[in-house]
Amino acid sequence: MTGDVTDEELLATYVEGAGRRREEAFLELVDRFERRVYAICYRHFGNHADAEDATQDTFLSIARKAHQFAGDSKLSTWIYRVAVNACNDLGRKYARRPQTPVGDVSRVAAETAGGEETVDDALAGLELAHEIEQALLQLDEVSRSLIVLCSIEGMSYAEASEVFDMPVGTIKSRVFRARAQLAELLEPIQDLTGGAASTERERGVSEATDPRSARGPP
Amino acid sequence: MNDGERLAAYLVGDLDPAERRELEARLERDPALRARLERIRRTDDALGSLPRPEPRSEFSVRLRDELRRELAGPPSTAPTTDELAARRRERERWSVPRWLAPLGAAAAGLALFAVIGIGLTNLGGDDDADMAAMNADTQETTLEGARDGAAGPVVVALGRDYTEDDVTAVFDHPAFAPVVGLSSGEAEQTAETYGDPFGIEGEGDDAAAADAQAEGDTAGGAAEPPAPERLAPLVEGDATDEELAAVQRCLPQLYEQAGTLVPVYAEIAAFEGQAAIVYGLVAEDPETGEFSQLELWVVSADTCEVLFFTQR
Repeated sequence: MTGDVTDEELLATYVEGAGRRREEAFLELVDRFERRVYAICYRHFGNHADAEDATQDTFLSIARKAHQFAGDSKLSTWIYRVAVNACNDLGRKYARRPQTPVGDVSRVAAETAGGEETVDDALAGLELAHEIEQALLQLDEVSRSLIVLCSIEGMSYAEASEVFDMPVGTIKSRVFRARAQLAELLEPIQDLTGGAASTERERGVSEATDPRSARGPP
Repeated sequence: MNDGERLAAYLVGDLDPAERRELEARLERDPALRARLERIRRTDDALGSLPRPEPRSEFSVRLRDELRRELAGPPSTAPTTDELAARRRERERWSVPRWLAPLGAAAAGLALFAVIGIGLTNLGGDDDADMAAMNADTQETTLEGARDGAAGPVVVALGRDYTEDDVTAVFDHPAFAPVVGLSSGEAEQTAETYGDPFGIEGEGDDAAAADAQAEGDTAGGAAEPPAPERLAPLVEGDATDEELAAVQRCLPQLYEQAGTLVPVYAEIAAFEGQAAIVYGLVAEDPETGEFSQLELWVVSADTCEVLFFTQR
């Protein structure tokens, strides 16, 4: 029913409308963006509980600040910016809480298992995903967000430049640096894409310090 | 551009021809560099093949319920549920007697206030008189190792515009020094007297009323509880009442999930062109138990959104 309506038109309906129409417009936006916002937040924190908090904060912020959307970029860009800010804000708050142990693979498997892969494939994939999640957590928050948006979600440098309000050249340079940094963090995992198994796996990134154990963001 | 960036750029075809040729020549003769290139390539592949995490269905339902509740209300600037929870926690955390007698605090060996210029709201001449008495008393009751200069919280309004690179200069402000090195017990007491003028309210004996107030904010019905007695921080420069109110409004969120913190510094400034408040806090170093961790928080003066954080 709202399939032909653009994101920006939905937002305008929400801002200018009233009652049920207003609510429907906003919830349609949620339908359109929830999965991507959630993915961004999950990658930022590496767990569902924090990703849910950040996703909820993102949409509450959007609901409250919708009138501030100037229309000089795509609505999606603005929404991702709100999501990145929500993650950073929550991350700073959470940095204060007592250390939570880095989860083991079985917990991650229990949280995310599903689909039709074989058990072994699923576990291998989950383990790799977990290693990458933990390595991502060791990057500074801008680098992490850039990897998530550009390297995982496939956002263009130009759009990321708008999200982060940085020149395209700076974005590129930071993405390059972050990818190289991530590769070094993952160095002990030699079979990232099915290559030779590492003899050093035991000292992989999952044993690295949880950055949230410190007070304040890394 | 370092080698890592160069290799990452090479993989996505982002080097100019001369750089590319030079890198390829190096790759040919340097196996370590080739191995590094391969690691970045594998990392890129792995990132590209990560399964997308999906929200749990119960969360999606809960999110929409929450948003429906939000949308049913008037278009609001009401606090988020997160903010309300933070306020409640804040009041619980600061369930300490209101700041009452500066001289009693001084006797306990606390760093004291000095008053220069204008103060926050709710100040009267009597407070100034108290402060003068306190300052006199300070000569005899300062902490061992107390630093030179006035102790006490400071509000600065000098129209400065900071960036990430230069805002850390705030750490050099003398307001931090008297608090650094306090033991946990000393800091708890100092936090009461420092926090209050910045707008962290002790809740006296009426926690329920405070909570009711927090809840009432969403309905916009409840009246403000009586303001706690406050002392003025030292103020440098000119600040409007609105700006000073923002200093009070934005601080409580920084206490969330924290133990004792001592707010020593607030600056009404700009951060990369945006109206902002720069807070300096002193927190406990979990290793030593001493208050030696300095925190700098920059928040938007309009929304209290955190713009920057660092610690030393």
